Amino acid sequence: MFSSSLALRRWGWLHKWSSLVCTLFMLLLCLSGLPLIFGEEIRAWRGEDVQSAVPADARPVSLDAVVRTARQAYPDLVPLYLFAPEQAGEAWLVKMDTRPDTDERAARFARVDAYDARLLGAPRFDVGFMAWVYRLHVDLFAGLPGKLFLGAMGFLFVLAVVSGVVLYAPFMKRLRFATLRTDRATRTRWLDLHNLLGIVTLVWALVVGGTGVINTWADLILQRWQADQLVALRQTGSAGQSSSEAEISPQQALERASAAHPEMVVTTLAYPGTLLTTHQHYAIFMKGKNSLRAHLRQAVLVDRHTGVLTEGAGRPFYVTLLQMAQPLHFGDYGGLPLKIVWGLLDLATLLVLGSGVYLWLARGRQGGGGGK
Amino acid sequence: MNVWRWPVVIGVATAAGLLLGLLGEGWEDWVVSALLLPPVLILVWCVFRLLNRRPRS
Repeated sequence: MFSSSLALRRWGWLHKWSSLVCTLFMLLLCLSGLPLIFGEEIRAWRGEDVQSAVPADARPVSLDAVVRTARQAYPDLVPLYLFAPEQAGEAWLVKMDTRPDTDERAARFARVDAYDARLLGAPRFDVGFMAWVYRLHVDLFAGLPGKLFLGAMGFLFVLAVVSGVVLYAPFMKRLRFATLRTDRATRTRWLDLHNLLGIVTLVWALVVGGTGVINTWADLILQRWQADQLVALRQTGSAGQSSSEAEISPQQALERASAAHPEMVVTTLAYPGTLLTTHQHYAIFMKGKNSLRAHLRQAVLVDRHTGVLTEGAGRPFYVTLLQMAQPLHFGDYGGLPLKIVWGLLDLATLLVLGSGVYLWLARGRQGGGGGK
Repeated sequence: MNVWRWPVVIGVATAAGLLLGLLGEGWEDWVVSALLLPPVLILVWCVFRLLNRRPRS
């Protein structure tokens, strides 16, 4: 299937054209991804991450006080999400916009001290170099169509990697692993380098490419999940309008979720009507307290009127897939050492892409020792 | 099989590093990174080899 001359020509054709079509965009993604890998470090270096010493007897303030401070900072906006501090000394981050159901592109943030509800700043994640690089990397400044387009390019990249593996074996039959014929013509040297770097970064490139494709579907996946949750809640009668106009506060919603899952900590609270929940419920996202359970996530819904807690329906596979895809794509789950490795692998992929373009441009000057 | 011996070893190490990283956080940072190191070491070796290549006759 793989080794006949005709089959190899077909795989070669697939490798050539899937690579050529996506290479320009993959070069752009690898280049823009490099600063994003070190985004936290760059923000800390620029003094954008605020951390303060926490007195031993300090107690966190009520979430309602945090929301009050954010509302005072942006009186015309409503809160969408509250992101909990990940470490002691960090602050709550409140995301706000004109309505709960916007596309959040013009959202504003308020950073609020977790211990005295002081406003610590209003970070802008939508301006400056890092925001520009982020938009370029995520959607080419084109919103959902841009994301889906980059997803299609990512799919071609995965095809190029797979077809490259098929071509690797017949090419390497007569050469030892990692042979770089440095005394041969320039094209041959680059061909050897392309094959070597391509095969050693294979698993990483497949994982980062594949998870990148999944991430481009994040909006659609979350919208589908929201719709499914709503259907499930309607079937159980939990989504109906309450006769009461009184509403519980975010702090009360958080307390109900924490009481139901004392072994977990809250990471995010989503207001009713936002993309992550229904119009009727607060969604509270939690993660395990200890390191082995830190990647286990749980979502609970708390009725905004009655305070009744509903366990999120068993997470569907596509949301689990998205949750697993995000850390695997960002490489942000293993501290700075892993980020450095991620950066070096990104550079290796840039070399594979660049050498591939060179091999195509120099195809008339065949240097011997295997075709491309 | 010979063609695939080292690619498989490197691929398994990379996959193990990626999966181990997903299981937890904290103490295993260096282990995860070490498992992902083979491709990086080969990248460094390539650069070294190309910088020190013999002049063509």
